[in-house]
Amino acid sequence: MSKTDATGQPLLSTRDLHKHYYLGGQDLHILQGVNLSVTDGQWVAIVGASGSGKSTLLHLLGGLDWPDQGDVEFQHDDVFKQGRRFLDDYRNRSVGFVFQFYHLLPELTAMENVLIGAMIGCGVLGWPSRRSAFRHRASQLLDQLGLSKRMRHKPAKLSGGERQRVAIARALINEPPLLMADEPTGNLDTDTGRQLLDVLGQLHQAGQTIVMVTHDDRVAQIAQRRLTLEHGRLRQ
Amino acid sequence: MYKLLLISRYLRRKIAPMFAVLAVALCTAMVIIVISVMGGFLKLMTESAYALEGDMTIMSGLRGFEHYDQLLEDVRQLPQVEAAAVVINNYGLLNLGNDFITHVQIIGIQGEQFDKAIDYRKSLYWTADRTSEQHADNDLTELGMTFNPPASWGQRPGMVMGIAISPTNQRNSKGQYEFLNSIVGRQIPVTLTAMLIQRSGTPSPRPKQMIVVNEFKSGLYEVDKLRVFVDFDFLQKTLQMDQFEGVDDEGNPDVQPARANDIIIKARPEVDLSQLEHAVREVTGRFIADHPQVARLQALTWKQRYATFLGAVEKEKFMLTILFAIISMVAVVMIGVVFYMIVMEKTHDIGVLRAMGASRSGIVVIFLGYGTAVGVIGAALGLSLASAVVYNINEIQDWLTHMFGFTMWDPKIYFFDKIPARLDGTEVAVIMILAVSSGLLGAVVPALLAGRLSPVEALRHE
Repeated sequence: MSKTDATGQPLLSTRDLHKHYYLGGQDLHILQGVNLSVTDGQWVAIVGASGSGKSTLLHLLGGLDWPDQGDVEFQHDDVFKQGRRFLDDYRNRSVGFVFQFYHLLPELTAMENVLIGAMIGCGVLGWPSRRSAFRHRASQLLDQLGLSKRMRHKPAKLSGGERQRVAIARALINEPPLLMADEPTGNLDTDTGRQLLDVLGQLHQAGQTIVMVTHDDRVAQIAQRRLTLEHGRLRQ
Repeated sequence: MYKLLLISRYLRRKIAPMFAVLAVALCTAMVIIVISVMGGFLKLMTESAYALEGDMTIMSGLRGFEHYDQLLEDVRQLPQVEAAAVVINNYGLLNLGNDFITHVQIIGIQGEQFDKAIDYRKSLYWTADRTSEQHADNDLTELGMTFNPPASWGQRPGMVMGIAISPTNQRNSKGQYEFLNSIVGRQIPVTLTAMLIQRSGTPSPRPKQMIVVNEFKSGLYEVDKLRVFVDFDFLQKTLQMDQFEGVDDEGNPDVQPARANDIIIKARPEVDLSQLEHAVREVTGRFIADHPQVARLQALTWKQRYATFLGAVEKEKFMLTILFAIISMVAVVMIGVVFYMIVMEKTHDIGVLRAMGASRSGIVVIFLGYGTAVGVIGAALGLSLASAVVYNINEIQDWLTHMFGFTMWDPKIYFFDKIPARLDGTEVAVIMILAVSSGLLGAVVPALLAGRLSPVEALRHE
């Protein structure tokens, strides 16, 4: 959490994003021309009812899914027009994901879960030389998130809040410019949810750009900027 | 690096792949054991056939051929030849008394020469170590070489009998011989009737009272119960194959040279069988050209002589290997099923890894590596199991016999008294490679399916 202060430069933007799903013979037009601009250092919360397409939008922003129409630009690069390798690299280095259900790998310890993104980024040849630096960073992140004594524990031995904090550490290991959180408190009790929002707040204070989707207005109010997704379009 | 980490963790944590490992291990062990036993059987057969026949034999019919000593000398002069021996080959009956009469193959040999060609001395069973007290004064091995019994045994010519011929020699359940009352040196009437083959081809029996001076054990039961050795000169005279000097019907001097049936040839160690074959055939061809009246001769290598039998065993081994290899495809299918289940179970993990930047090929490599690891572990376990069985196969059989009275390989029936099994490095290496490949092959389809999963589909998978 050593980000510099926010610069206010455009980091991520979308233009006329469309996404359809065909379910049960029906064409569901989930996103109907979403335009969004996120500047460096912003904390943007996107709210909307269940099924409004919040997660779909986040997946498109994070390069996890392909839009049917429209562009997503990250630092002036259209992420879907650069090829698969660029997209893999974008997900690895530019974006960090925090999911509602944590999605930690059950066979790995907390430390290994945090490090796996770095391992993917370094490759077999790069890992040995950078291993100790990344282990040091992972220890720092886990320590700052209050998990210094849980590093060797597997997810099954951790509470929901602890798992989500491990997921945050995992998302930050490669120091991505953009953190994306999909209902980060959705699976936590109120107190634990509040603690997690405090963590995100601290990250934002340190300069981290955050895009968060939630159905909970109270959670969204903590963010710097609040957008609502309704009928497939974003509004202030 | 993350691929190795995940493969190692998946191997440690999951029970399902252990079934795949077990399938590979059992199939590997099964194929190695089958090939080892069949290969051991074939090797022993080959060695025994080679030990009995030498590298090559120049053969004639039962009447034999003349001027054999000249051909023998020509063969001995060949640089490829280490030793050569002439033999007389005949068939007849052996009467051991008490109405025990059996057909036998009678071979007349010159002990020392014959030993140089096929290690005959080693096959003589009654050595100084085994000789009972009653024969302590006699060197039975030497008697087996010279066929000259001591004067105290009477004036009958000596004979060496296959160890399985005498009914007083019985094989026990372990295949070892037990001698109720050894026939060697016994003053009982033993009659060997050889068949003199006249020019017309008509056989004429020539019975002779003999005394058994030793027995031989070749390791091939069929040979041990059929063959007897006698002195070359004795058999030659008995069958009137020695040189005849007399007059013909018109009173003119008639000299008929001595005859013998076969010449057995041993090659020098460094000489290839095909080189020997070429040289011997050339000499034989020249001999036939010089002696057009000589009976038809055939020069055959030991492989050619036993081609039918050894070929059948080789084909049987090949067929069994193919059959078990097909059965082993079950392992591939099982790995495929297990890995498909694992991919289904790990769909979330795949989604997470893709979200963190893992490429499609990276996901494919994880599951291919996982399959290969299953193959390697399975193959190693299979080899260990197969080695344990192959190296202790006779002890395992003894235990089975002891526990359940079930004898898989009855030494009373088979050629050899022990199950011949040996691991061949090349064959084992090929099987191991195939076993590892089966793990890889079984994982291909599930791995490709895993690689094709989109991150969002994988993350949403329930």
